[in-house]
Amino acid sequence: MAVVGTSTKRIDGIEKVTGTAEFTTDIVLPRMIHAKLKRSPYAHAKILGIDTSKAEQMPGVRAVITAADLPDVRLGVLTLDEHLLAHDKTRLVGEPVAAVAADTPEIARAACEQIEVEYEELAPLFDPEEAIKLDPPVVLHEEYEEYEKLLEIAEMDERPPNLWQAYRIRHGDIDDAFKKAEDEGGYIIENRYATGYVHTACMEPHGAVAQWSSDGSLTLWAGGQSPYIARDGLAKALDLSPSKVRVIVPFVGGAFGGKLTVKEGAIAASLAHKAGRPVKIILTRAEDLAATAARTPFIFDIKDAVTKDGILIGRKVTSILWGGGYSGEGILKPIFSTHLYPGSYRLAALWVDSYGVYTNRVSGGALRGYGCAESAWAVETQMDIIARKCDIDAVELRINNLLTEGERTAITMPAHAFSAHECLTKCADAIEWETPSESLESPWYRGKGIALGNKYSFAPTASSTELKVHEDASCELRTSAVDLGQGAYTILTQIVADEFGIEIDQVKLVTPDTAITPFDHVAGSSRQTFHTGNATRMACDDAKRQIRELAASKLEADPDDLEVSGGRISVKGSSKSIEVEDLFVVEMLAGKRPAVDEIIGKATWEVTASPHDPNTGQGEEPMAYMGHGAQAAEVEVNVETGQVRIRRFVSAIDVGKAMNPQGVEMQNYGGGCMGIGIALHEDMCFDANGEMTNASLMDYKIPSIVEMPLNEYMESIIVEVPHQHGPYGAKGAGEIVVVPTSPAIGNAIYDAIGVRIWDQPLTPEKVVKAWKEKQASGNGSGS
Amino acid sequence: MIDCHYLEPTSVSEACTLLVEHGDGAKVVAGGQSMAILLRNGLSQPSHLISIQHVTGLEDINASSEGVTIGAKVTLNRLNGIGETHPTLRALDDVVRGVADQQIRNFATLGGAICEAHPASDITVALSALHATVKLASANGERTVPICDFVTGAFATAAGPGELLTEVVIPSFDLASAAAAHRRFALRAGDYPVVGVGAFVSLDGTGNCEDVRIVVGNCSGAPVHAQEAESRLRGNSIVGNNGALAEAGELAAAHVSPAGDPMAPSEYKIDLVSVLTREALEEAITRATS
Amino acid sequence: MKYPLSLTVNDENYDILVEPYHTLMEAIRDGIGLTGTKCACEDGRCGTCTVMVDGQLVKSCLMLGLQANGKSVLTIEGMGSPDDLHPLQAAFLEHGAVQCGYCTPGMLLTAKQLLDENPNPTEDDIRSAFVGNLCRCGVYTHATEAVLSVAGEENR
Repeated sequence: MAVVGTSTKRIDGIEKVTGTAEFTTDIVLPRMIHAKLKRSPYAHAKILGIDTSKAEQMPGVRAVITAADLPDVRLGVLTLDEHLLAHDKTRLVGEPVAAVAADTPEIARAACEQIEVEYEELAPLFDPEEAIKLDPPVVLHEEYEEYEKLLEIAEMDERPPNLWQAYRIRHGDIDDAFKKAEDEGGYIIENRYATGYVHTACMEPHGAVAQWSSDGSLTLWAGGQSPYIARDGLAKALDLSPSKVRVIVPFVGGAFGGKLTVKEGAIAASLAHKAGRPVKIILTRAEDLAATAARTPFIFDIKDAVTKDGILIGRKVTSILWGGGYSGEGILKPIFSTHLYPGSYRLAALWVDSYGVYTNRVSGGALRGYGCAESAWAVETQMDIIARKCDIDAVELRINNLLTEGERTAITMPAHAFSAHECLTKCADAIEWETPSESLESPWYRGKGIALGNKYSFAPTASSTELKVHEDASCELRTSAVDLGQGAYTILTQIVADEFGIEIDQVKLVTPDTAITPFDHVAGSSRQTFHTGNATRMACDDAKRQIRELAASKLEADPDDLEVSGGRISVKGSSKSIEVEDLFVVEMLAGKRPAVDEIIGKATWEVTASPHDPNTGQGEEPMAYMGHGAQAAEVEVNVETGQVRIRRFVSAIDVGKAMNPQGVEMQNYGGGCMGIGIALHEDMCFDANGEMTNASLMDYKIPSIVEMPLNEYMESIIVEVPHQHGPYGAKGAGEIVVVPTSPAIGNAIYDAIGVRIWDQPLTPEKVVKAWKEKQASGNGSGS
Repeated sequence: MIDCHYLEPTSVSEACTLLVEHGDGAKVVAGGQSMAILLRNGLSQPSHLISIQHVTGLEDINASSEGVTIGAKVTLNRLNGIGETHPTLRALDDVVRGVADQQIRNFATLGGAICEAHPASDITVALSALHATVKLASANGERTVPICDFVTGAFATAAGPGELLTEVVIPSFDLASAAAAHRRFALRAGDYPVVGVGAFVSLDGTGNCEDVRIVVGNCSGAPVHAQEAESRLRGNSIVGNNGALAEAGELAAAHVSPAGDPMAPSEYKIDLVSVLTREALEEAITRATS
Repeated sequence: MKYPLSLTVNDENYDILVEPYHTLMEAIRDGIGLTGTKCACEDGRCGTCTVMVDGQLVKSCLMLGLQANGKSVLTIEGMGSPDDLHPLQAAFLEHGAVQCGYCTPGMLLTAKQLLDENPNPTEDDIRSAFVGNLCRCGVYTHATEAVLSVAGEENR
């Protein structure tokens, strides 16, 4: 009864459809009070003084804190540049400067208004190209050199004062590539692309509940992506030993990269300590959108050398990430975004300079696709332009440039389980690529576009699980992997059911709680099926080994001759068997206990990696695996209003092995929906002072159902090219589904109306503008 | 938000009395669909909330030879499809089906939607094109105000102290030769429009334009009357005259100088005014001639 | 000042005290303690807090608690129970229309009102009904399938 590979209803579904699933926002504790944050109205200012006395005197206020109440430690992911509450300076609008806990959220909010902060406004810096100068008009972090840094960046003669990341790729002879293209009748194609400000905009806002015990230990409930990252972050921020911190992850209402750290949780914990009461903090939607980490923009300058036959022979890229006030979770983006420059293609020469800089806006964070979704916008639009320039079909051109199994990419990643060709051709077939779109009546135009994408899963990384076997032969999996909605709990349950030959409902999951469940790195980078899946399988093996050893004497057989399935242990090739229950004995007044030891399998799956040299981008095997996918869109464009409707959408992704095919389909459709939003509708807008002007779900436009194609025009294609190290051959699916979306749509718009829009999102305003420019110039812009 | 009282009058006169009594601190709540947000955000901090939930007599829709009268508490949901029973209200129908969503239309009232005076409100635009008037009750009696004079700016109305909007009157017109239509463009389904345009046309016996009104929404605090565009059409041949309609669109666009919205800068809104004016006129003419 | 609020939620009577500015959502979640109704956007756009009041769908963040005085409210907890799922709840699970689950209660109530009023909706009807329910996981395609599976045969 194979469960792995069959569509399985999500195991946490009953709670979710009946309203009994408890999210962080639903937690209520006795004597619990509520926290609100006082935030900076300035993008860049010195803090001269904070007067909290009025707030403290308000009835119902239980605690007020500022940076002075916190340990003087800087926090961060790899460059430690940020205080929990602003210290002497604020570097973005919305940076927290103080916090209040009070009997009700209304009182806490009113008390925040009574806190008086004296600021000295400083000139803000928003433009990344100004920020990266050696003599920038403004320096955000004067003390940068003193900061603790856990990652080496590329060597530079002189570091621009606002720069926090520099990474280079030096592969092949780039000058020779351009010379060759010029000399041999090829093409040099150079363009600038930009991505926009995008927010994860999870339906559940950020929040946490903090409670201290009398022994000085802290428990924090927070719906985040990694209880262990959260635990260590809290410990550092509050100057505690990690063993004093327990993090419990309730149901999580979406994360998409936005819930990696628990800054507001640490603030709530500090308030709870001061107030001597449990404290709950739930960000308002406006705070959530304007002041938690976002997918900040990139600028990409790409120059490609192509032979006249459409073979890519060299690529040179310079990119800048607008990093925001703090480096935060964006720290690795300038590195990981480079993975797409070779992507699935063979490149004899690749030369990249990738930077991250501070600007006085919201800090850069992760969002589904971590840098790859951004660089794919540039690379896959570029591929479309190259195809048109060379007059080669866009699918054929890509195929002609693909790597083959076993080759290494220009960043030394082995092309293994290399499914790009299959994804691309299946996707093209599904959208009837060979058949041009029908013509529509003016002002509507139709067109098709396609794009390829990759998502690498980072390494080094590790996942541990424990698997306890009960006397009724049911299994209990203890994991710190988090189900953010992607279906991780269901897949892990399927694995246990399969390994033990039991029913799904005989598997119980113990969900993340650092007091109970073992280490798991993070629910991110499309890693849980791959890494936690492997660890789970290994823990099952370990438990079964213990069972076989315990059963061997009872069955008078060698443990290696036994097999465990469906609650029975049997001797291979014989009818001799016992029940798992027979390994337990009755204890007076206490039911059953294990006859010897508890049967607990445990395992750790670890993937090491050789770090890239930041000066050359070369290493051994830098990532855990490389996933592939292709997407195609047919669009309808109204050149008068600029409206772009997605008529048809196909997503073909390689998951190695579809553990839960319905779950993959959910990622294909759901990722497509988010990808459509990012391509067309979503844009965090800012005023001249750096304040977000559309910080609501009314104005920050995640797609509604109407922005999606009709069901008959949505197609999910599952490609299965097994990975040698994946459990059952599986690879992750969570991020690749948004990587090719934007370029597929942009290429379709070009096919429809012959204009390129270089900067995301492709809003109606930009469509109208580009169309008018094309009409005025009498031809297409771009290509 | 420290102290707030909640009052539930049962008649218009009682409501008006309470409004006078509590002055500036009093705010009327009808469906609650916009007030609840303002209260929650602390953007409105009234001393007294006057709920007209139990006020009777504000929920009727009546038609006479003069026109159609709609009570202030009629929900937008009830107006969905109103063009079928009251064909002069088809432009209102154009609007209502696109306003927000089912949940909001179930409880949002016509009076509330007008009194909110949201700059992007399509309802006021359509009603202005239809030459609607609103009836305001107070302790001193009633007065009638053209809707275009009632909404004076963003979130501002001409309602005086102690006045309650009780009904909306849409005058009748000859369906054989006149009609109105409304066209909008929103960046996402269910959202406020970037721009909305309401158009009314009446034709004389020769098919020339006898009268025309073009009202543009979300290009200023209150709906804007595109007078130059109207002048271009009035007295001229408009049936099948695409050139004239396009010109009217351009004149309407030239008339407005909107502030930009996030993702919709001023120039883009102006472009849309031109397109939507033409489309609203085309639809109104189609209706008037069919 | 707080006012008494008497209402029926899922066929049980409750008498609580609320401030006039408290929304029905706050009354249900904080006053009564039924947390299946979620809060996500706070300005009435996302539909996560959707409930039914006297059989009419409403976003509970857009109605004051006191406006529901004397009324009958249906929340997700009243739609079905883990042992006795409403057909729509079962269909959402079956068809993969649930991911993170935060918007799910609101979507289910919206689907219920749609089918209460129109047992045989077309796909367009379903899309119109869901305009006011945003889902960041993007379950729309599957939610449409789920609703159609419960609806009458002729529109499948």
